Amino acid sequence: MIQLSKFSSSDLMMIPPGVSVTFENVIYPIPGTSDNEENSVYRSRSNMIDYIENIYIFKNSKEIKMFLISNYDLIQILLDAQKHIYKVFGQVPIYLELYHDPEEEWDELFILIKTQYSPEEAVNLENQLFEEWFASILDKVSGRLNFTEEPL
Amino acid sequence: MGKKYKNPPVVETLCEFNFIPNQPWDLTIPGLIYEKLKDEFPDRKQQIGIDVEFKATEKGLEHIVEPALPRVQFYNKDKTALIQVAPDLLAVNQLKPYPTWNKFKPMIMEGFRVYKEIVNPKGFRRVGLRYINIIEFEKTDIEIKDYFQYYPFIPGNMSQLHGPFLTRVEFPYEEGNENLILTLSSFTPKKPDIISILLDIDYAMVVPEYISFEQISEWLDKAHERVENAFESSITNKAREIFKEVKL
Repeated sequence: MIQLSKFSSSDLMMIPPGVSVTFENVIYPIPGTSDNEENSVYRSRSNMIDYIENIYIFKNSKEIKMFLISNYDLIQILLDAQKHIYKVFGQVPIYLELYHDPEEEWDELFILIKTQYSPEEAVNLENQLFEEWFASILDKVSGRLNFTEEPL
Repeated sequence: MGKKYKNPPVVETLCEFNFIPNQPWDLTIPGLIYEKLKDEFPDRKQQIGIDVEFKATEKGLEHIVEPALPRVQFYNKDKTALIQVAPDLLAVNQLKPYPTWNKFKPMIMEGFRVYKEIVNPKGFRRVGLRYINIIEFEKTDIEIKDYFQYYPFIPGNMSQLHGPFLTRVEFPYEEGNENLILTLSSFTPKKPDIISILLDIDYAMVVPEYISFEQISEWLDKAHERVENAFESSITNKAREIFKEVKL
């Protein structure tokens, strides 16, 4: 018997935190690599979403994946976001969390950038990230994606 | 001839051709193919793709994400079908609704004819025909064996209640020159409180040049028949009730 789980099927293939990642233990399918080309539109979307989970730490994995299935255009933006965030904040942990307002039936995906900067420095860097990256995609994400800095 | 269903679970069918080239890939090829197909497939798109490179640095292992090799997709007007072209690759995809084999096969043959005419490849490296089915249950738990004849076997002394799963078996055909890959797994559902199960059936010629270009039409019919048999063998009558079999 199978039952609903808070995990998704791709979690079965995830690399657990703290495990050293080498080519040998990356069993997870990486989309777009030549030996593992996925030509199915349906499954390549699913693989991309799984891949995003290697970049971001998902706070509510199942909800985020369901949201991304319906908002597939955000995938490329999330892939691009990493380099902009690293450029401004350095290599810091980045989380994704889906905020849900049941009364308004509103969902918004938040990129949470975890840093050890002082509040003042963090605000300055947030502003810099907004100007250098987020302002240019604001019209595309139309209230579905946002970011914020949080203390580590 | 296979069974017909009012609510078939198929969400995508695709035919994938990997070719052995005769000459280096020319970046003008996708444009030339588009010119031939644009009446049926006018909407041209660049697929989102990524290449990942791992690089050892002082900070540890870093991964670098780069755009993937160019892959161009040509969608039909209502976005229910597309043709994908990349270096030494042609894929013909049919999304929902699936229009029957008699309509899908000519689309594959036309895509192949155009690719062959423009690229003039040496032969097939691999050809695959694949049917992707998603079965959704508006339930919080289900007994898989009620719906599928093919499922993970859980030993009796283990909990029979389980979460996500993945089963994949390769069956050799034609003395190992071809194979059928049957995958049954859980799948991220589109909405909460739904169990989604994926049944992916992929029949492929896996030994380069095992078949020639002239044999492709016949091969496709054989592949389709084997996929159809695998599908019918993998499901139970209870699943057929969900799909609503149409008696002919």
